[in-house]
Amino acid sequence: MSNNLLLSSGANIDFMIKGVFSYQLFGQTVWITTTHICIIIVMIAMISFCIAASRAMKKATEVPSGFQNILELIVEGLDGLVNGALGKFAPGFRNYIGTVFIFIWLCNTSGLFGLRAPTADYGTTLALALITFGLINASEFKYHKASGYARNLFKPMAFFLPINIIGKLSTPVSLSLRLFANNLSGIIMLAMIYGLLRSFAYVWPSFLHAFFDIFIGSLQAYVFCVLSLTYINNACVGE
Amino acid sequence: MEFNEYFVLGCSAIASGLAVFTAFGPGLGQGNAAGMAAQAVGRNPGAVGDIRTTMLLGQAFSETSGLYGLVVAIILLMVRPLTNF
Repeated sequence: MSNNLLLSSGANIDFMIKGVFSYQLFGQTVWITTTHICIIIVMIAMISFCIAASRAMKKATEVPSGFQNILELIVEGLDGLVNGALGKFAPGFRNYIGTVFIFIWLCNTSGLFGLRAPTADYGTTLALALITFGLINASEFKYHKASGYARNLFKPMAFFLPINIIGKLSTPVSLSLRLFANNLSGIIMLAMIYGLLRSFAYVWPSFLHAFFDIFIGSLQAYVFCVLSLTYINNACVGE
Repeated sequence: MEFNEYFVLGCSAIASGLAVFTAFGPGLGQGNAAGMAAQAVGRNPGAVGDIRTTMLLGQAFSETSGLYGLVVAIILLMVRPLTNF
């Protein structure tokens, strides 16, 4: 039954993750799926963009022009997002939030190039949300020490401990499920249109791509970053 | 009547249909938020940018409960956790 997540469903409607090849690791079958391949493609795109960007910034001029304009726009936008939410705690988190935003945005819009968006796999989004979860707890440890962390668990009264622990653990679940389900719903809608209206689906689905991939994708990347920033801010400031 | 695997599959299909019905709540909420945003723009046309950002963020949060329903429906249909007997 667990193979159903890997193999395609019936009819022409096909939105599932497919296994490309498998190998044995410590007696377990490990599948390399389309998600891994799409993530590698996204990573190659990101790395080549970064190399081009650092080359362009080596001969940066006082008055920006062309490619330098775009780079400054991206960096200033992301820095403004982090600075606005975190204030004096911002410097440590700019790198993480900027990277995650660009990565999620590229993953979400990769549907435009015929890839299956890697963020529509629960493994990807859970990993991202767990990194954020670790960062939240690490910054709470850093700014409140162990005693403050323990005290925060017993707020406002001692018997709130189980509720506080559930609240902490639900953070990565809600973060990851939001991103996952938004992208999955877009993929299902497009797969249904391509599968069921095969003979009519020519130019006009591009509007649906613009909505599901670009609009919802950008919005969800933004929402993920803003929510991460809000949680991190709560952990840093406390009280 | 025989309670075999196919009976459970049919029940799963009904249950997944009911799970998708959670979209009812976020639909109402998002419509409400958009209406309120329209009112706010009418009162203060200068703050269109801020209002749009706040509205989209709030809608994205309230969408989550509907998306949980979608996830439950897809798990019921595709993973079929109830038929493992």
